Amino acid sequence: MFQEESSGGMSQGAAQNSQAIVLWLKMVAIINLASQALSLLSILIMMSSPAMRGMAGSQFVSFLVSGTISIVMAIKMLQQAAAIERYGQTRQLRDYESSLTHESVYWMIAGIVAILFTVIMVFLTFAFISFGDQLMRELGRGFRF
Amino acid sequence: MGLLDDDRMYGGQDETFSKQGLQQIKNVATWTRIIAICGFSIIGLLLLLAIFLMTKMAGTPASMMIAPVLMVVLIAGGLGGWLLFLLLQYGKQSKSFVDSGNPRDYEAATGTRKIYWLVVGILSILGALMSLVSTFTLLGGGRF
Repeated sequence: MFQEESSGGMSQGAAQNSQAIVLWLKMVAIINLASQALSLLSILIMMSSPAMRGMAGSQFVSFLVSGTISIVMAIKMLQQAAAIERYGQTRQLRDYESSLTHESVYWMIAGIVAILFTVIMVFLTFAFISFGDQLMRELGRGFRF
Repeated sequence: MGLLDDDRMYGGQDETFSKQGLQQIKNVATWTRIIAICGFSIIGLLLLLAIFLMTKMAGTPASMMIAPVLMVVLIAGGLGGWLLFLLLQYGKQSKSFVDSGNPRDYEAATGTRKIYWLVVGILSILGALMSLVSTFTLLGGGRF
């Protein structure tokens, strides 16, 4: 498909490399969406059990946050894959640039999540190290068989 | 002078990336490097926690958890570290393309991105298989 050395400012190799990720992008996005559907199914099953209903409620709240982020990211991946596919057909660089728009949004969301997660991890690590002795005592008590 | 400062490269022509396109590549480069730095920090913190746990658990009944916890941390840390390294490389190579305008830099960046998504894809398939097995075990066990 990419016969020329230069394909709209990109080398032939870059164009081929970009085409090669389309399948993986689609696959990861579909797996992510399916995984969210499974999570929802698990929560609904838990909700059907009176004993597990309380836990299912808190899981549902966490699902609303993480599920929404995952779904938006999966959609961005599918849009990126579609734009790269379009670029493969038209060989117009503006199609590839539209894939870059989706990619940058994808990485921006992932970046914000990573920053938040790092802050939480720093807080948890220092809290754990500060109150670790107390926690270990509780753990030790829990492991008495 | 980077491509973003060079007006000759702009104009929305199909021969070269437009200013917006280059800006998107620059954004991707920035965010991927931020993610890599955050990821390395998280791996470092997890290792710190694992070492802390090992020293505290030694000699207690909970010490039997040391080996599995350490194994999970090492495997996840190693695999995650490799993925983050690829992401960092992708960000650096993309930034290098925006700065130099050399198409070979972008070829290298897309090559790194290809390996990254290949690994993420394989891991996702493995994760999905494990998730399916555990869900059907849960459903089949009639636990609820």
